[in-house]
Amino acid sequence: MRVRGAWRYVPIVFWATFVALPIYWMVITAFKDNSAIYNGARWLPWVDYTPTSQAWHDVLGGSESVIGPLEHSLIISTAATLIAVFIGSLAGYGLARFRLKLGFMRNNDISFFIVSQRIMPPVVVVLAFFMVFKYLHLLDTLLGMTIVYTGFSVPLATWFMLSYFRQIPVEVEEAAYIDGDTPFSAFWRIALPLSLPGLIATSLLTFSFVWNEFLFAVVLTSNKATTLPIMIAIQQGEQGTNWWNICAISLISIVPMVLFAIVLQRRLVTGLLGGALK
Amino acid sequence: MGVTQTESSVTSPRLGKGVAPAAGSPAHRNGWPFVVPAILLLLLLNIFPLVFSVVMSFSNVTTDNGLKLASATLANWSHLLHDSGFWDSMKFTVFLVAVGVSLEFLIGLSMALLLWRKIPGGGFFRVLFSIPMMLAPVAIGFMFRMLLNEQYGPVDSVFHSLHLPDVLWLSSTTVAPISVIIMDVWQWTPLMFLLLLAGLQAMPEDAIEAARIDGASGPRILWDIVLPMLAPISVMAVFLRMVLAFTIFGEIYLLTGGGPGTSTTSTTLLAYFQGFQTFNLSYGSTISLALLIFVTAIATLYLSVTRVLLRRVQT
Repeated sequence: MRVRGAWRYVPIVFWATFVALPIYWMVITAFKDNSAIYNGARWLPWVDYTPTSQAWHDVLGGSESVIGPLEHSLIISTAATLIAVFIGSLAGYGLARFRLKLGFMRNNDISFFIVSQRIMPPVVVVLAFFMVFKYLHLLDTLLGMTIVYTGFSVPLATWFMLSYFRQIPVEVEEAAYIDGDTPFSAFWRIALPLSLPGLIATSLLTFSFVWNEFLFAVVLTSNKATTLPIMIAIQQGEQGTNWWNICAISLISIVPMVLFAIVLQRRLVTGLLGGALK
Repeated sequence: MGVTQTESSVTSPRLGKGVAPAAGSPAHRNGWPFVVPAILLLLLLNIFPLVFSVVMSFSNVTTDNGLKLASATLANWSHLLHDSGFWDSMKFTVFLVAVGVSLEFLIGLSMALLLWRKIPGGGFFRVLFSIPMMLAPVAIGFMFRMLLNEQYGPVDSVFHSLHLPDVLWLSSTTVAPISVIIMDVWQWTPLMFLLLLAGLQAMPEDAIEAARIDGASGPRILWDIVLPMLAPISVMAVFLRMVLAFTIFGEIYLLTGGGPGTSTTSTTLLAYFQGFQTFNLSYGSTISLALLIFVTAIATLYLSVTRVLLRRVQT
């Protein structure tokens, strides 16, 4: 509760140190070379080692260029996020606003069916995807990866959007119906704009899951559709591990997320939970 | 204490369960066009691969004979029952989920309570505390491998300068699982923290205010009012985390590769190894389906137990 005093900073700072140290280590390692790594731990740039930007040259266009995978990641993640959030919004809206019946299944059962897909461990479907994609020549293609990630993201997007639409008062849409709107135009013109915070939170969450996903990427891509996580993973080679490259690529890949988090911090948190709370 | 009137404002988390739409004008229009795309997509991209997996598990598929399915067999499933590798991976996965998710919940809750009220520097800590969950799992796996390196890692050098005994973080079969947990806690406490903090911030102030006017002490308010009101969101947060934790793959793949020995081989990792290193796709599918059955059972059990508990907390 509202305990005054400085003591509360003790656990906070303790945890902050635990959280921050690995991040600090990652940042300084991105500016190290062989000698600053394999001769024991080096903590402070310019003090106990000489920083170098070699890793950044290699990674941004040099021998270990991530430009290609970065493009693949951006295309796949953006496309899958847009499609999944759109389909998820449609489904969420349908389940929040209409009475549906399919045999014994009502709204609750249908939404449970959709959301429960997320319980399924990805490894269950990845082996099947591998076989089917091989047959359809979709292995290692941007299209194939977008398809896989869309399916992977729809359940969570539906769940989040469903809880948003439940929060929005239905009266505005009812008025729109009287003005002659169709269900789709009421959804598109009224419900969707009203749930903008929810759309943002859902998109960010979906994007970050897809952006960082590894299992599907490692099984289904090899060359033409590799994503950033794969670029990180392959830095461990026969001649040892390129720690500096790993750290540089990791930092590049976290940039969009951190920017989003800082700008949308408050909105993301309230957005994330909106529906589960009220 | 005069606070019960607000408790009804927090409802249980709706994991797909919830109220049917009210009888309004949209409700009796045709809503199927909205839902059909999602259902078709999931049938195609989740249910079909699932069925395909089931078929594979009752057959014998390797990458050599392509899509040809051999005749039906129970061999994979009967092998699974006697496969100590599978049971060891389940034990490790359950250990990781139980210990990891508990720690994440406790630390996340403590930090959320400490940062709930505005304090100087609170915004900074909130951003810092959410960074780990944004990093790619593979990046985190590598990072901890570097930190815990037994020759040139910083943790080792700190232990050395403090004259603490050397710990074989990644090469001892007893310590490596603990290292995995440390990494998992680092990575996922942020999600707990954010969800619980949002839960606290959405809490109605008047109940707490009323109790304070009645003269309730801080710990009493925390125990009697705040924690019960936080129960629904806690149940949801733990559920989400638990389901995701059962599928851990990339982090361990790069931290320990499942070793030393098989001491940190999660079930997903084992299924992957079977499928893509020994190219026994059928047996890999069988393992993954066993994991699915287990996760579904745990999820169902968890949801029904917490539903009863929540009802008790809220009345």
